[in-house]
Amino acid sequence: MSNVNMLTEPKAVELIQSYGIPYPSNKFVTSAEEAVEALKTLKAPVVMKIVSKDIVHKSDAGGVKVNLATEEDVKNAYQEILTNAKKYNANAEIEGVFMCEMADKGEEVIIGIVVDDIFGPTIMFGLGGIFVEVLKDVTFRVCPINKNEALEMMKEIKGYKILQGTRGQAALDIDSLAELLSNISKLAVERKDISEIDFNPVRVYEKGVKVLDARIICNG
Amino acid sequence: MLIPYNKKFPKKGNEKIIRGWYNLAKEEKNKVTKLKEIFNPKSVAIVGASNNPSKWSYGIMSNIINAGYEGKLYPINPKDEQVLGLKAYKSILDIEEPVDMITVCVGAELVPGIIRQAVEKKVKLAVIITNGFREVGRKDLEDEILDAIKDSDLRILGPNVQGTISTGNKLSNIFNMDFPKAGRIGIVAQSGSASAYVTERMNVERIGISTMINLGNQVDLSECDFIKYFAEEDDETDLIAAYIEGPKDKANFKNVLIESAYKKPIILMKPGVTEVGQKAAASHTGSIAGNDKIFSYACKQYGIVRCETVTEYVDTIGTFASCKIPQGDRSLIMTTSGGMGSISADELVKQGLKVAEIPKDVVEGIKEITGIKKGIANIMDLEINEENFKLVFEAMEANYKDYFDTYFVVLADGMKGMEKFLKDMIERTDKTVIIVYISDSIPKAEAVDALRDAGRYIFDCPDRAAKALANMVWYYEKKEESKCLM
Repeated sequence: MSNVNMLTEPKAVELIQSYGIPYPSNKFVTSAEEAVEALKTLKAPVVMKIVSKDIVHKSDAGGVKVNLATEEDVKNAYQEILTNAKKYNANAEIEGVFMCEMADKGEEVIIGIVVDDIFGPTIMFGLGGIFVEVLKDVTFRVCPINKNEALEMMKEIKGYKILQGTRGQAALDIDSLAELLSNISKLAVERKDISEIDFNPVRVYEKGVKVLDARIICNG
Repeated sequence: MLIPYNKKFPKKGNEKIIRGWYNLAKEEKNKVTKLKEIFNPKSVAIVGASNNPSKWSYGIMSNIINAGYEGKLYPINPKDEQVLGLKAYKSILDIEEPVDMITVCVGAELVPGIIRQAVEKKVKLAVIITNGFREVGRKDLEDEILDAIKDSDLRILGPNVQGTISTGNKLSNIFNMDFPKAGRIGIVAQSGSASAYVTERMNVERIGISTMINLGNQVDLSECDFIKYFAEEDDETDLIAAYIEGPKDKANFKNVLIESAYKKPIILMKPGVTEVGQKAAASHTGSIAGNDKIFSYACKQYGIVRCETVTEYVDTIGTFASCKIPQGDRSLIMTTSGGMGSISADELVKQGLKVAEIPKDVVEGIKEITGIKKGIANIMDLEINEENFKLVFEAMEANYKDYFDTYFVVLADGMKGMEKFLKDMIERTDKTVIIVYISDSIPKAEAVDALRDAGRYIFDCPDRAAKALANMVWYYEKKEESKCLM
């Protein structure tokens, strides 16, 4: 994936939070000390991720550390992340580390934006994992869409029943998911500088939804 | 239809969304955008007219004369004194009276010069039949044409156009087609054969058209101009049939589609299998999305009826053109054959439509009124008995109109003289009527003949009928929904 015009995670999160799109509580830090300080305001456990325009595949670079609960964990993680990053790409411009509260487990969906040359920003929705990757069980709408259209959109996917609750699992918060889709579509229409977005994964709970990763690519 | 639609649209709230958000930045063309005037020329000059029957211009001129065009017709030929009995002129500049439109049939190299003359003569529309422009690498000639019309009001259709037809003024500006019946369909196609095919099929079905436009190379007028023209300006058109390969006017296409589809139904066909020039996607989303997929979803979103096959395309156009607007999705199947009735029911359900549910007391009521003892049910199995059909029709019309929206008549056997009843039925009811005549017999041929004369599109089989009906139900439901959101 091209990294030339991709927003760093802190910048992407700042943007989407201004549209009411829920992301785990987070803090951008530039030193181990700051990281320790941040731990006071975030609820453990946390995940720490490298922030660098030049490192796109953060996990591959050893730039992601999860399940950090103590000051010691956090301090060590900071150092390790930076060391790994330098090993992965010596010339990478490293801005710091992004700390996020870890989210509860839940059903995952994928939401994306692509800009069509005739219809403009278009939103995509599908269930995470093989549903999107292998089965391509996805649906699209041209932006903007309201909640009603978002609900219609979700019903089109073959795996929709999973959201409604199946195999002993309770029904999920489809309403919040519809609102999320609608908000993302508004963002896409208003920010003409954005050319592609991947929200993957988005966790859906019985109550509430949360975007766990945001990749936003701006126009060259 | 490409995407099976989900009909349970929750009609909630007063959300005013659609109109305000669909305004993309547009560049205002500094040109005559009202096309109505230029499509009703009072005078036409054929540049490159000829007495040689093997020339296209000969065919075009003969067609114009034979179709009965009432305006003035001027052949332009530098050598002959007269062409096809009309006085010929050496150039359009030699004609004293005004010339509204020219049809250009001379060699490509000569065309820019003709256009310059047309600008001088204050011609309003030039239809360039000639080919041999950008499609053979001569884009320079097209640039010359554009340059020539730069500061004038002259509009260009083409070049490389098969022709145009307008039944309103009996102008058959095409060399190889029988002049069609006058009707309410506006056809615009990027491919010459696509426009010809639809026109010819409608001819066979005896359903009229208003105007047929073939776009050619679209150096000036584009698909957007015509979709907009049909939707907004053309009182003679109620239904738009479009064949688009890739819109020329990308910037305006979305808005034109949305606004036009709301005014008049657009039945659209677009090839999509070869995704030319899909840019390398940077994101996951980008790699899954495809231009054509998004095009389909957009059509679904905005109420454009996109057809997957040529068969569906023609069936849908014929149905929209000849049937009353369906008020709902429930079909009352009236058939001569229980078997065909069941198959028809399957086909309707496959397309997302419903078979009318006739409750027990209504069944009893119908039996009592008509005296028919058996076959009265959700699917009316009325045997090869015209009287049964008449009785049930009268009973439903008089008492039970609330239970269904469409009469889905399926005749699996030839029934002599049935067309009289069918014509009567179509005329008297305000319900939608779909006629499926399956048998291959003389009575069927006679009925089809009579019904076509009455402007009615007839089906050979229930699957095609169900699909076309579903498209029509979908469009009008979509339109109703949009009203809720305004």
